[in-house]
Amino acid sequence: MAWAYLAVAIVFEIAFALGTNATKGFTRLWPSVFTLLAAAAGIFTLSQALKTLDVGVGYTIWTGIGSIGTVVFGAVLYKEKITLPKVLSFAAIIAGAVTLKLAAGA
Amino acid sequence: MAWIYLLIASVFEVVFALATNATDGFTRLGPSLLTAGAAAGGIFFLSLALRTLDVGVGYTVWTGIGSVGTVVLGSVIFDEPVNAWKVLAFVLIIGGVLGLKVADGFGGSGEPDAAGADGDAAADRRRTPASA
Repeated sequence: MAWAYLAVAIVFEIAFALGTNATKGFTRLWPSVFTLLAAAAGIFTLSQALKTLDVGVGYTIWTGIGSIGTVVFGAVLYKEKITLPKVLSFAAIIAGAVTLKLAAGA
Repeated sequence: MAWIYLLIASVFEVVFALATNATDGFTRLGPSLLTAGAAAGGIFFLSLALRTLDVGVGYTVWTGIGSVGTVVLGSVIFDEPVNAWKVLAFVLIIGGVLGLKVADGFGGSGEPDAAGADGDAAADRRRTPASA
């Protein structure tokens, strides 16, 4: 059940990140409302997952998959360019986050 | 300035990550209030950073620095030793963050030199998509 909560939390997290981009510094009402609801729902479902999952595992997977989703949907929805230097940088950060988890759990 | 906002947002994210773990599924008041406050601060400064930065870049850097900060602070609080794997992880994450910073600069967004009168290059670019 914890993994189901985590999967739901990741969906909310991606919605939150994309919503934040649309608020323009929280100057637009409906994107702001959407963003805050997605953030609250994501944090709540993450906290449910963390009742049984280790915080390092839960948080790393949450933001790691959230990051990939945000990059992909940012390119699709907002026409953000995905260049090779960016892909290498994203890969380094995500690999680093996973390594960090493995190191902390060892 | 966007990168400064992003660093501030990352500090809030570290506090948020550590506090969330202490809420016990939001059944404890004090940690829950701290978590909500830190989340609100982090989200607000992230939104300021995203006015000029790409959401993929901003979000990934935000959480990457958040992960490093969480482990560093967790190590200090719980007195855990720093090993070679953690150092490698820090190098990967910080190297990736710097890579994105460089790519952002050379990619034509966020550089003051390329900006309009308001210093907002990415927003200028977004306002005139047809010029690409």
